[in-house]
Amino acid sequence: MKKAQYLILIGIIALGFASCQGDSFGPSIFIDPVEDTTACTREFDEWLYQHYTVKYNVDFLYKLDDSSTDPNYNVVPVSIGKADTVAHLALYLWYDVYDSVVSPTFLLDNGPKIIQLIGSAMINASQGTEKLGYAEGGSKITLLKINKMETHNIEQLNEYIFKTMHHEFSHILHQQKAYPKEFGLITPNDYDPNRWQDRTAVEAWELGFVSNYASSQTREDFVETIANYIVKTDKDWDYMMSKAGETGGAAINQKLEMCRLWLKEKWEVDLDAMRAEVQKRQANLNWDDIMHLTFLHENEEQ
Amino acid sequence: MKKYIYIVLALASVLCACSRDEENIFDKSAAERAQEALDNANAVLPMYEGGWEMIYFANPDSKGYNLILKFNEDSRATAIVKNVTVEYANGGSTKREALVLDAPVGTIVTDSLSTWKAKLDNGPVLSFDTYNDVFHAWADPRENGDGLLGDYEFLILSADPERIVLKGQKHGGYSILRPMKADITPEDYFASCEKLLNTYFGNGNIMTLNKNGKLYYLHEGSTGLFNVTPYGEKVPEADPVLYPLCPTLDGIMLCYGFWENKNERLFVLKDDQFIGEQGSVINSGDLGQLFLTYIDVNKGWKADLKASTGTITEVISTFEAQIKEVTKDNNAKVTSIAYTYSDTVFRYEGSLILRMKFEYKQNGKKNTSIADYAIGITHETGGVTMTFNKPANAVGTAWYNNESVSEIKTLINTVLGTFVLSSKDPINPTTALILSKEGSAIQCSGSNNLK
Repeated sequence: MKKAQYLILIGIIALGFASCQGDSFGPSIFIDPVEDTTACTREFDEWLYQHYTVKYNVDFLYKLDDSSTDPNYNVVPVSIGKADTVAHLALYLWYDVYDSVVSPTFLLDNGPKIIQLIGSAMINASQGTEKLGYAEGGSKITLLKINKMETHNIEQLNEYIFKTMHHEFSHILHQQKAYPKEFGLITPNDYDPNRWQDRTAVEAWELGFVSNYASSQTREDFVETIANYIVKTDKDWDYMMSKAGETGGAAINQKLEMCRLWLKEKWEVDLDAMRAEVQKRQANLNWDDIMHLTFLHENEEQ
Repeated sequence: MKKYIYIVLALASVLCACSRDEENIFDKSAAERAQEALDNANAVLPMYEGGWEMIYFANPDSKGYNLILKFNEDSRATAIVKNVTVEYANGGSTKREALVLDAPVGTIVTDSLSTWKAKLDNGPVLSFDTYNDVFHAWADPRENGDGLLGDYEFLILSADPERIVLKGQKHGGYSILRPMKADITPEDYFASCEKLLNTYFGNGNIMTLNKNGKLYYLHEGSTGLFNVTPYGEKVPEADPVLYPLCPTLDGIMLCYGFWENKNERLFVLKDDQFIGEQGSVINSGDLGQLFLTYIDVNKGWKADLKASTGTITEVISTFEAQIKEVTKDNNAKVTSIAYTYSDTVFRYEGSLILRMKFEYKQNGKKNTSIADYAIGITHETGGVTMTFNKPANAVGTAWYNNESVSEIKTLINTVLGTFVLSSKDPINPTTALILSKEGSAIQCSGSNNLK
């Protein structure tokens, strides 16, 4: 009897499903991801496809989908001209550096899968801070404030672009392989996630941080140490160390050594060789070479 | 018994779930309709070589801005604007800077180096997805992180060849696109819109809204935000009711219509009246009421006695001759003193007053003497009655009681009384209002910046 009841129930449910078969689905609301060959940006889009998607498996996003950004901030897209410049610059000072110094497949294997450009910074007026970049999920790097980039102002380029690139990429790396816990024990009592912006650069240096943002939390300290070491000239680095004093300088050196070892052991990246290559390239910014990709390796198709 | 109840309930639920009584409201599925709307937008947007006039309300609290937009089929977007100064709150103060940074205010700015895209999101969406110096000026976060709170992604609410209605995705301002007239240059377009706004709403002009037979006052239209009050009332000191507006070539466009008429956005100008799409009317309204309401703090009417006609001119002439005679030697200590009658003003100074101004030179310096008289004003349709009350300051008392200048009383009696009101400029009566009574016509102009 119990078995019969179940059979009746199953029968009724089956009948229910059968009776609803009349509803048919229409065409999909999603459009096939076919490249828009009629767009005025076609040439640039194809260039990006060749130099980022094919070579590094990277989707280089410069056309902004505002709904994909943090709704708490007001941001604007990047201009096409600035996107073009940054796309070339990133090859010169980031991708090609890793190709040359580490291995031609390092960024293909470990680099971000999405690079997104945004024209403005994310400004937090109440705190008096602005975000210049961020990394998400070990695979996406967003670079901000690109519209304000001045191509012939090396200090500003360092601050807005180069340092941010290395900063965010270091996040991508430690999101895959954790940095040593001991790093956070070097200056454990001076991290201040809420008021770091009130510290001047010199105050941060004296406390053993390479920047005031580095003093916000351990993971930012870790990637700031790497990024600042890569992009700061010898003169700037030495100046910072002289102002940091004995205690601050010792802490920075201790942190730098930990970063150096972590990159070597976990990623087989020689931080000093990387820095030397970046410094050489930064000192010889030739925009004609950069925009024509003449810096790429000889056998490589440009 | 329980098992039979379960069976019956299961059977009932299936039958209810599949009830065929529901009728399809739409012929097509949501996906098909969304795709159709997107295809339509892609067809309509690049339709005109001359582009579209865009009335852009950055957000629901923002005044409207005029833009010209062009959409090319190769996704290139062009935006044109007349650069203006904008204001925004920044750390407790107000920051003023050019709308399009790095471009001089007052110039026409064009940017063609950006792209547009129609895509599907919560419906068809128009996105300006690469930076345009003009179009993204409202959305740029500037120094305070918010900027002018403008959008560059819009839900397309409707799109046909005559009109496209958009709603900002983040900040919710409405924008309306209409085909740009082919025979007008951008310079002339912006100049015409500006002229229309200043002509009808400049000079602190108050317009009357007639919505379904009920009257309201529309103040301060030239600011781009109507301050709406009940008919005959002045603007409140707090909690104003504001309706953003923007001039166009043929009238004005609102961000959203008045109260329940929220879709009544376009008011077309015809015979000096703005006729709304749902029948509301905006015009200069009753002049008697206007005369009374216009008088406010630092705001009122200035009599132009030289442009006036009739008895008033004779009275002024006699009065001026009298004061010249009386004041020529009235103070031995001053090198030169000669009073000249300058202004008659109806204004508010704690109460309604008639103000008479006299100019004179003392030790080579020009001075002004002000005589105030408290008056009463009542209005009737098309007219006002003004009555003398008493002198309202010491100077007023001195002049009034000075028997040597007895003609001042005649003058006061002439500029007060019962008048019928008309205007040389029915479009903007505050620029040239005429107060007529038997034998005299006094011309007045409104001033919203009386010193």
